[in-house]
Parts: sequence; structure tokens; C-alpha cells
Amino acid sequence: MKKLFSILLGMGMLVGMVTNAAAGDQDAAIRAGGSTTLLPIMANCSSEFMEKYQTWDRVDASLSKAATTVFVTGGGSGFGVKSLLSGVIDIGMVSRDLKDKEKKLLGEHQSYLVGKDAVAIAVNTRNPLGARKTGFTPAELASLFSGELKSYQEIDRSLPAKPIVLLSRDSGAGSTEIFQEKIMGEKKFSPKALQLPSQGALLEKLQANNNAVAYISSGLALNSKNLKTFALDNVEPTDANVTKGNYPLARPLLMVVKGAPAPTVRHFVDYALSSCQKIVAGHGYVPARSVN
Amino acid sequence: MAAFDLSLRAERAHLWQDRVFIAVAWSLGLLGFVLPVSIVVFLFYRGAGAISLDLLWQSPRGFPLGASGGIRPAIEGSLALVILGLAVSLPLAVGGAVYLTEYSASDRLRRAASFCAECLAGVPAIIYGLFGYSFLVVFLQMRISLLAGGITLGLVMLPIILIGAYEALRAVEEKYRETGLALGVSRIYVFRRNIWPKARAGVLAAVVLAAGHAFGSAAPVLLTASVVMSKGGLDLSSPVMTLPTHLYYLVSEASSLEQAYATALILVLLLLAANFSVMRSKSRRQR
Amino acid sequence: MTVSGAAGNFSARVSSWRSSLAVSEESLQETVARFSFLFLLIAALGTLVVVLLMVAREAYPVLFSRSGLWGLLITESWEPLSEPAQLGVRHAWISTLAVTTIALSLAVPLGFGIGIFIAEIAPAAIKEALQPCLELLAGIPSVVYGFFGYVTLVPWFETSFEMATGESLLAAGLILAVMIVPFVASTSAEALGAVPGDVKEAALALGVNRCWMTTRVLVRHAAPGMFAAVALGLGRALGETLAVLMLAGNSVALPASPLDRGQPITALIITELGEAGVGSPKQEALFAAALVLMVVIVAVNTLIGRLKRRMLHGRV
Repeated sequence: MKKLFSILLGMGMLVGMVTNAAAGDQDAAIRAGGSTTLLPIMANCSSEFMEKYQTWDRVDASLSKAATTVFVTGGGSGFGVKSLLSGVIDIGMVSRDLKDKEKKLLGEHQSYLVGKDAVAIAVNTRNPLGARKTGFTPAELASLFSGELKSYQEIDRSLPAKPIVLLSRDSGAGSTEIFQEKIMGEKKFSPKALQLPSQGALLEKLQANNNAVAYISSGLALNSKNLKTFALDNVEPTDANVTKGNYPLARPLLMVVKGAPAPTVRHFVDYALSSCQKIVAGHGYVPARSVN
Repeated sequence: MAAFDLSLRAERAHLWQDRVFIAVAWSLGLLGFVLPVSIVVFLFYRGAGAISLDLLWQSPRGFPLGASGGIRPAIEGSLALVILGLAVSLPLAVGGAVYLTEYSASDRLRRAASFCAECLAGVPAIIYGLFGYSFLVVFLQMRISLLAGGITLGLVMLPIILIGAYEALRAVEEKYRETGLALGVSRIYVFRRNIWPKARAGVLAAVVLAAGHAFGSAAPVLLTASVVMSKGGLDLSSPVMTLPTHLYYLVSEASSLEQAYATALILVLLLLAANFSVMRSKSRRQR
Repeated sequence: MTVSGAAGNFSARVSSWRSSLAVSEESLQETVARFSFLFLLIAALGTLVVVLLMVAREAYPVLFSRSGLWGLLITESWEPLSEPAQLGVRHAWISTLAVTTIALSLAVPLGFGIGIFIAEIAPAAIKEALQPCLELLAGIPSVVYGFFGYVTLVPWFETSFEMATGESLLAAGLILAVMIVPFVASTSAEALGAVPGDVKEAALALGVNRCWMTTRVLVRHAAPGMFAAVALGLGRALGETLAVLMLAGNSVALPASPLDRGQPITALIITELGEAGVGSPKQEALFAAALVLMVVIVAVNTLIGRLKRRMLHGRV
């Protein structure tokens, strides 16, 4: 037993030593987490950043020789803010405006706009609702998503009597919070709505189910050839309308940092706001700065 | 005559009942064989195509990230977590089991300890994850890291190894201990030279069982150690990708079904290989 | 008192315990070894007990909250975003109950059947082949089962039952049944094998057929072990997280039928934990739900322990 134990301890120490030497001190690693809308963008961005600059001293000569390391994870905007508050992550990815309560809890903080997105109402192209209606009013949407309407026939008598399947993100998502605040108001979401764990899963479910209607990131919806979006108060969720601010459910895609950002964080944010803008556009969102 | 007919009919009915019973039992037994094999074959059929040396050796790549490239950081992360967890739990569990069988004279203590350990082995892994997140990650500010995840996995494995080692040591007959002590030899010597070599295989089997269970568990590491994307390179204070969480992320982000099949297949094959090697060594010893 | 004096005192007590054996005076090395192992035992069990106590400590403010335990379990629904936040977990424990019931109702007959097959009917070669198969089934990780259900059951439900989405308590329950079958099967096989041979032979000598002997005589004798098998399956089903997370649908509504979506306690915890701020009422509610689950599982495990002991010491 002693031999086994010492072997294991030795292995553990070896692993620790070898990789510690490679990765450098803890401060060299950046952790980003939160919005699942921002997740694919940040994942590509961080991967590019790490490939372009292998060590921090290539980014900025005053930094250490440690390898550039950026970790990205999801969890939803709510998770991003809470983790930022508890100190678990360095950069919170948030796909909505910060609430006043959150700003107060964060104290001194920096918000960087990476891109713009909107929350669009969408169905897939095989859903007959797309042919019948072109847009909704907020009141119609509230009664739809609160579960007051059970069948498509209740929306429009010419539609088949199929049950309405509501898809949504879970309660911590940026899109959910915006939708609740600006559309639902006092009404609650229908408990029968299916809560998906990410925007990606929401997209896939919506594309597969002909009876589903969802509120989804407009970037994803417009990029997909299988979805049809609806106007809200006669404003379409196009990139132009989002940029100009005409579409009511526009939302910012933010990187939030608590306190003053460390130099490494600062450089990564700068990279995201410049070279990564084409990644933002590539995923279907409106870049914060125009793409060169 | 009628009575004779009746008993003959009854006997035939009993014979048929027996035949049906045996047929049903055989078909259930066959089901017990078919279920696991069909799951593995299904995963192999769908996933084997995506497995390549690239997959096992490279980091994730592509647009969106993860659509191509490999899952090497996930494999490394899983192994690192389990090794760290074993480093934490192995001495405690085996040492504790040794005390219970070799040194403790109180039967009540043994029963209480094994009851305790069995209850704790039944506690779902998510509860240890709950503790790991709120205490290790947030309160101790270990943040989401290999260390926090490794300790959490160690807690998950601890009761399993404790019970397994205890059973393996208990299986060694008392007479070996008694003759050694009767000859005036110290307990630790008897243990080292007589008991441990006999119990070693059983303890190893328990360790492999616990390690396999931990290797495949996502719940305790999801919030303590795991991130969606990491470049690779292990560090105690950094988070890691792991195979089971990678599979979960692939499904919940709905990114690449093909990669998901491959990840699931790799996970199952690695666990199969570990269990198989333990079985081989067990049967070799029995011969 | 010197160290050797203390050791001498200690070994005097030791030898008085084992008066029948001629035990040598415990050397210093022995004492050190003894105390190191004792330390390890205390550290091992102590750590685990501390974990549980910390969970309990986080959870117990719920008792004194606005709604208390009653609200948590019975009256309140889960609406963390409303003002005031509603943090009841009744949808969760009902989902757990539903999924577990579905799983047990399928796995117990199947598991018993396989157990009877192994213990009574299978020839030795088949037994040797079946054992690793069951171990394989038990060794497949929860997330792989969830994935398997996601790519097979969920699409199948959607097409054949015309469901909006195939994720449902039924789907989760079916996969959970497959997961617990090996535990039920091997424990019941063990229980049946432990029945003394003369009971079986006496029955057969009286002229009953194998079916009668097995179902009426053998199972009755092995009853404690069979119950232990069921309890073991129950305990595993209660604690499963990833498979039910991926299959039960993650809906906070109260499920009304097996085809509805639900959210078992384990899935609730893992979904909401990241967004629960430290020390917030939401976190307390999640810990309380975890504690409820733990209490039930500990009760089940106590039952298993007692049944297993009855099985081993038998009723002669």
C-alpha cells in the first residue's frame, strides 16, 4: 500500500510540476463565462487569440513569458453575472443590459460592447403560422407565451388545430430576462414552455419541430435558412433595425469585468473588440465596430 | 379412471408451466445480454467513423469551435481529475479500511463505520458537486479548477474504495492474522507480508471500479472543474475539459452530433478496457 | 509519563482483550501504525460527515423562511424571477417520484427475471458470459445513457406519439430502468443463490415443478435479499443526474402524466446552482431539496443494510 501511495503521490506531483511550469502562474489564465449566445463567438475568439499569441510577452512586452490561456464556458447570462460577483470568473459574458441591482453589487466595473443582437420571434419554415402572420404586437406575444392560447387555431381560424409548442431559454438567460421585462411584464411564462439549456439547442429544436414557436437570438435566426422571423410592432429584426435601435428587443452583447481589468484581460478584450469582430459578423450578429 | 385422467392432465400442465417458465427466464437472460451489447454496438456503428488519431490527439478547432479538430484536452482533463481524486481518497480509504480490519477490536465500530460508508456511497454524486461548488469553488476561492474538481471526485470515490477495500481485507481469513500474532510478530508485519498480498487484488478491483465511476461522472465536475473550451495543458488552478462534460456540452449546445457519438464511444471503450484488464488479472489469480 | 511507559500501559490493555492469544507487547512502531490508520479512518469518515453537515447547514434556514418546509415541499412552485420569488420544489420531488416509479416498475420484473435465470436456470458458461455483460451495463456512465436516450428514444417518441418533444418523464424513466436493471439482477441472483440447497431439494422431492419451486419457495426464502435488490435499484434511481437532466425535459411545471416534462430534484440542482448567488434564498432552497433527497436515500440505504443482514443470517 505504501508503494502504491507513493507512486500515486509521485505521479500527482509530476503532473502538477510539469504542467505548472508550462502554464505559468495563475494570473496568466483568463476565465470567461456566461451567455450561451456569446459562447461560440468567444470560443472562436479565444482560440484565435491563443494561436496568434503563444505567450503573453508577445502581446505586450511588459507581460510575463507565460503561455496565453483563455478558458470559456457557458451557463447563461445570469450565471455569468453571479460568477463574476463571486469571483469565480474574470470576464462575464452577458447578452443583455446589466440590471441596476447587479451594477450596485458589482461596484466598480467595466462593460465592453462586443456586438449587438436582438431577441426575435421565430418559427420554422414549415410552420403554417409563418404564412399567415407577419408580425405581432407585444400584447399578442404576452398572451401567446403565457400559455393563454393553446392551439394555432386560436391565433388565426384558418390555421390547423395543432397545439402550440412554446420553446424558451431557462430563467438565467439574457434573452429570457429581456423578454420577461419588455414583453411579458406582469404575466408569467407558461410553465408548459420547454426550457432549453442553450441558444444552440433552442435553434435545433425549433428547426426540427413544425409546431414550435420561440423567442431566439436574431443572429441565429437570420443565419439559419430554416427559420422565419416575425416583426414586432411592425419592425423587422434585421441588422439595420438593430443597429439603428428601431427594434424594441435589441440587446447588447457585453464582456463585463469587475473592478479594474488586469493587463492580460485588457489585451484580450481589445483583441475581441478589434480582430474578433469578423467572428461576430460570421456568427450572424451585428459587430460593435464595423468590420474592415 | 377420472381421477387418473385428472392427475395426468395436471402433470402435463405442470410440465408446460415449467417449459414456459424456463423459456421466459431464458429470454430475459438473453435480454440481459442483448441490452449492453446493443448499446455499445450502436455507439460503435454511429461513432467509429469519427474516431481518428486526429480526434484523440488534437485540440478543438473549427467554426464554430468543436466542429472539427480533436478532444485531447478532454481526455487529459478526465485522467488528471481521476488521478488527483485518487491521490486524495486512496490513502484515506485504504488506511481507514486497514484500521477497521486489522486494528479495531470493536465489532460495533466496524458495523457503524461500514454502515456510514455505505450510506455515503449511496449519496448521489451531485450532492458532492453541490458541496464542491459552494465550499471549494466559491468559499475557498479555488475557482473552477482541476484542484476543486479533483477533491470533489476524491470525495465521490472515497466511500466506494473504503467499502471495497474493507470487503477485500475482510475476505482474508482470520487464521492468517492469528497465527502471525501467536508467533509474536507485530501486526503491521503480518499485514505487510501476509494479509496485503492476498487482499491486494480485491482492493485494486475496488479502486478501478471507483475510478471508472468517477471517470464517467459529469455531475460533480460540471460546476467544479469543467469548462466548455480549454486549450490543453494541465494546471491545478485551471479548469479542464472532461470527456463526460464534453459530451454533455455537445448535446446541450447542439453542436456536432458526430463528435458526440465519437466522444461517447471513446468514453465507453476506455471504461471497458479498464474493467477488462481488472477481470483478466482477477481470473489469472484465480487460476 | 514517558512514551514507552504510555505504550506499555496501552499494550497491557490490549493483551487483556485478547487473553487467549499470546500477544507480544506492542512496540512503538505498532502504536504509530495503529494511530496512523485510525487517523486515516477518522479523516475519511469525518470528511464525508463534514460534507453532509455543511449541506445541512446551508439548507436549514429554509425552515425559518417565509414559507418554511411546508412551502418548500407542498405549496410553492418554482418561480425565482417573480416578486416575491417562489422557491418551492414540489415539481421536483414529484418528478423524481414519477421517474423512479416508472423505472422500478420496469426494472424490477426484468431484474428479478434475470436474477432467477442466473441463479437457477443458466448453465455455468452462460452465467460466466452474462456476468460481465451486466457489469458493462452498470459501468456505462450516466451521461452516455442520457445521450443514448436522446438519440434513440426522444426522436422515436416524437414521431410515433406525435409529441411536441420526446423529452418526457417516460423517456427518462425508461432509460433509468435500463440503468438499474444490472443492480437489481445481480443482487437478486446473489439472494437466490444464498438460499440453502436443502430447501430447494426438499421442494423438488415433494414433486413440484421448477417454476413452483422457484417462485413459491425460493423467492419466499430469499425475500429479504430481493427487497434489498429493489431498494438498491431505488437508491440508484433517486440519485441519477445527467441521464434525467438530458431526458426529462427540464420543465418547472407540475407534471400531470408520464408523457409530460418534469425536472427531478437532481436536475433542478444542477440546472439552477450556477445562477444561485452565494447565500441567496435560491441557494438555500436548492440545498434544502438536496437534503430532502439525501435523507430519503439514507433511509433507503439503511433499509438495504438491514435486509442484507437478514438475507445473510437467513431464516432457518
